[in-house]
Amino acid sequence: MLKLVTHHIERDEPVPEVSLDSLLQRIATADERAFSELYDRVAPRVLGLIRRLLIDHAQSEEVAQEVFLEIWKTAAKFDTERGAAMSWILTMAHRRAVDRVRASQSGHDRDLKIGIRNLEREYDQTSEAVEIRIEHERVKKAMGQLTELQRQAISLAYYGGYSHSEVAELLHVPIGTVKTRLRDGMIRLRDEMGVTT
Amino acid sequence: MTRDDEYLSSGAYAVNALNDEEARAYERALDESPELRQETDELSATATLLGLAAAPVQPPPSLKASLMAKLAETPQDAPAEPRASTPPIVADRGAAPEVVAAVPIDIAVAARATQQPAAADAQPVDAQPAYAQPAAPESPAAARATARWFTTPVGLLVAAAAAVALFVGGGVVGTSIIPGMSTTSQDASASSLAQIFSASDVQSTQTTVEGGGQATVVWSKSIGSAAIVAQGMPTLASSKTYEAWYINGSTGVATPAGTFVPGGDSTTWHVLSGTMTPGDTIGVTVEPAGGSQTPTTAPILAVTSA
Repeated sequence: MLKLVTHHIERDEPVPEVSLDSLLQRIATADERAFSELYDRVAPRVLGLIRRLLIDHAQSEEVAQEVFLEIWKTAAKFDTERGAAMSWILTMAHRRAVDRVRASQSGHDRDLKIGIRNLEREYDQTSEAVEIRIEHERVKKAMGQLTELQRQAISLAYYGGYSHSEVAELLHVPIGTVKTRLRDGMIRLRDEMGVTT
Repeated sequence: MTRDDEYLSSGAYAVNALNDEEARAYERALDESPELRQETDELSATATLLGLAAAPVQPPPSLKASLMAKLAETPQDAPAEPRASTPPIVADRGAAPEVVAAVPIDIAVAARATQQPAAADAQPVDAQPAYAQPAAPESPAAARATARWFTTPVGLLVAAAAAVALFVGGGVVGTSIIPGMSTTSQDASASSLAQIFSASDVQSTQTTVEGGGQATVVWSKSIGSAAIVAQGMPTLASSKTYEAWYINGSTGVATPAGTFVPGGDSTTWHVLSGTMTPGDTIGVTVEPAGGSQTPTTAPILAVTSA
């Protein structure tokens, strides 16, 4: 006799969406549907950021997978007092991507211009959803308020995955100077974009 | 590091430009300085905006499928500060707390009965009925047990749920008394999917579904099984259903392999029922609700296992 087996994952709540925070709380209780929904909502952002640093498609997917397994494992440790879920997730994704970049590519293999060039290419893309274009514009505008040196340091570090000592080497300045530029630049961005916690 | 060094490093920390050792030192300093913590949280949130400005990349459906399949084997960490009197698993399920609270404990007990490897740690707890009362003060053993409970692999719960079902006399009853039971059939499917993905001879093909959507067909000859991982397949009228088929490579005979309901934009998978013969074509057709014994329409997806 024919046995019918049907399995599917579906979103728990269509609209309005449940907050990512509450999804994480449910994931902490081994709720796979919550995990599935969280994945659907954030995976393109997570993979997008990782791709930005790693370029290589296959490696990016591997790292994205690591990130999501880490989310599954450590969801119970997410602390709503300390910031938004998206921030927690993207911080994790960025760290893992940076680790992979540093483990897999030696400094001289990497192009000084990677971080900066990608940022420019990013800005040129017009096929994005409106929401994302607005985010681009917001970041682009804020980046425009930085000094050239601050912008270079932040682009190389954040989008290129370079450590401060590598940035120092690439820009021919002392490490202390890089740290100062990163801090001043990030504070400027924070103020320009009105970030509060 | 002096205080000045720490403040100087806040930007570098937020963009992950410190090396491991420096980052650890910085985090120790964070615990002692609320001001530094505040600045760090703000700069990390700022970095998140930089992250959101990166162009999104849509992952292939296979990424989610293999990920979901791995969940069952991935234990979860306990909360940083276990709250014994208000276990999140009870608090968060909402609707019927008393019932929900009772069922997981039954499952946990059944789990121990069916799962030998857990026995060593769990034994002292088995002897304590107090474990069934979440409000009881925690002994170290109970704390471990709580941690174990929170970290129970889903695979264990599947076995446990089956045991519970047996106790009450049948799977049907089991389904009605256990909230989220549908999740466990998903788990069973997830482990079948995991089996295919982890086979040494796993193969996959990505294809476009006629009528809308993308699908990845994965199969393993050694396991004799295939699965369809789909995204964006349109929802059908209630009078129709998607049905999967194994179509024999030499005779062309189609064997029904289960109907399924795709999840729209979210990723859905269907592990085909029956056994795949090497050379079979894996196909999907739209059939009248309930499915057919032989295909009545042309396939909207067809992938030949080579």
